[in-house]
Amino acid sequence: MNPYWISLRRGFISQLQHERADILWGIHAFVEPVFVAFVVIMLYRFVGTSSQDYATYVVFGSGFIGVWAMVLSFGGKSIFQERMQGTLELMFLTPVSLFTFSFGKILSSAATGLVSVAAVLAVGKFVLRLPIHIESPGLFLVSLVMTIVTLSVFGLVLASAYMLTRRVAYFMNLMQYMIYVLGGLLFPISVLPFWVRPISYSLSLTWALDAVRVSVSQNAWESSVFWMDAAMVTFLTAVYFVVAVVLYRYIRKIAVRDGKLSVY
Amino acid sequence: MMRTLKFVFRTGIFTYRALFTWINPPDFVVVKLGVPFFLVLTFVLISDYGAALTGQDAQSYINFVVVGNALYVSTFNTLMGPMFFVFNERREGTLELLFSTPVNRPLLNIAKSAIHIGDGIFGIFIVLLYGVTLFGLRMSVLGSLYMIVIAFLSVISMMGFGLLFSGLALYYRQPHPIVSMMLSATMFFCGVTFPVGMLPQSLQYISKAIPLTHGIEAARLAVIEEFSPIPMLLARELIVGALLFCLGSFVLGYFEHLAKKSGKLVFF
Repeated sequence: MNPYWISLRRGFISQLQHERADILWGIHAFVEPVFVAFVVIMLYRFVGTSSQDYATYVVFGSGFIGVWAMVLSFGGKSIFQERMQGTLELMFLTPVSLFTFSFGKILSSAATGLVSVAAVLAVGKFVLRLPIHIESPGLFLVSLVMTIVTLSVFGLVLASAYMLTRRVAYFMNLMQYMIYVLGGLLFPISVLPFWVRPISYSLSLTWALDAVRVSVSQNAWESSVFWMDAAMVTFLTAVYFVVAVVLYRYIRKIAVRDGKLSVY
Repeated sequence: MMRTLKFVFRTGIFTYRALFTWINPPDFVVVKLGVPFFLVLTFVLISDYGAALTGQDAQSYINFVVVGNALYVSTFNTLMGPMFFVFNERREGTLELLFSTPVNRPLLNIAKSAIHIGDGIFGIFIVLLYGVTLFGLRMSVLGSLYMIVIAFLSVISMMGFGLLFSGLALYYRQPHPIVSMMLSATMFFCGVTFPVGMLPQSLQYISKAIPLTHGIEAARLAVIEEFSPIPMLLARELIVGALLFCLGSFVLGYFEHLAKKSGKLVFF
């Protein structure tokens, strides 16, 4: 079997086991996005907006806030945690690819985060009776997978950056909220000032979430917007991947050169 | 008295330094200025979008969410502070030493909260400053003076609420998910972005049991210069806060007992 596939699979399973050991994280993944959804829905209702206008933004925005939080909480710190636990040196010594192992862990966190999307979707549709009907179920699933993969690759960039400096931890706190705005999670990015939009367009999450919303609200097979979104997600994910590989190689090089693999 | 005050001040500074020992000024700016900015901006943009769709003027809604979020950001200190000072003592291996000293435990809690209170108030005024400079919030001088009192009393009262949940950090391995859930729940129940009156009656009882709800209501009244109901709201807030502080000290003691009994004080 391909060694990259083995380390990816082991990373995925090890992260699942880690999350299962702490049931609170599971509850967190379920509860927090639902609260966020309620807060945003109540604000939209307070302003008097029709549920048709905000339903897909709130449901999928809040849901993916949960996925994003999981990627940041577990994925972003995955290599750093190996260092904290004293297992990073061992990982470096084994012939297993730490890069694909970490990718497996982040992918696992993001996939677990889908619980958030399911929870908000269920509450939105059945409790709050929001007008959500998935028009293109097949492409909806494709867009969910696409979002998970692109967020995981982005998490891989963060994981490598986190190894460079622990200051990244503070920026992660900032990024958690920054993405809400720049990614247009809870409102369309047309609300943002013109000069901010290029930043939004450089985030694959913006396109991926748009693809999710298009697949829910219309026949995505015939929508050029959906295919444009999918193409942009693919392109940006490839860019993130290259950045992650370059960063990881650089970190590996300086860690060995400076002998600071386990030193913080 | 002086000795107690010195103890409170010294412990407060020490706790804060221990918590942020390796944070430097640029990082502090990111945490203290950047996070609240994007948080409040999210809700300002939602209000703006919603109001544009309904053809209304967004300003009154923007004022509403800015003031709510200003008070809300103090919960980063009031909820996270008490929880993490228990968790950090445990992680650093000093919890057994702390629990074996004959120190007055409620006084120690107050002392450890002291700097978080100052930091929480600072956070509130950062968001209000964003509101005034970027989001069109207008406040009179008298309203601003009221706001200082409201901010101070809200943060003090919310420390009692934070203490109530800090005991959980003694018993559970990771306080992060609890804190995170508590922060979201506080935002929902305290009317940070919408009036509490929109909640079902049964949930409004929960709202009233959280001190911040009254603080936010008072702060909104201060902005629109309706000062007369403010003292009553603040009195309610303080009473609820004091009750929660007593309950919190009791709960902390209970979890300490539980953790010792199950041998989970240091080991998980």
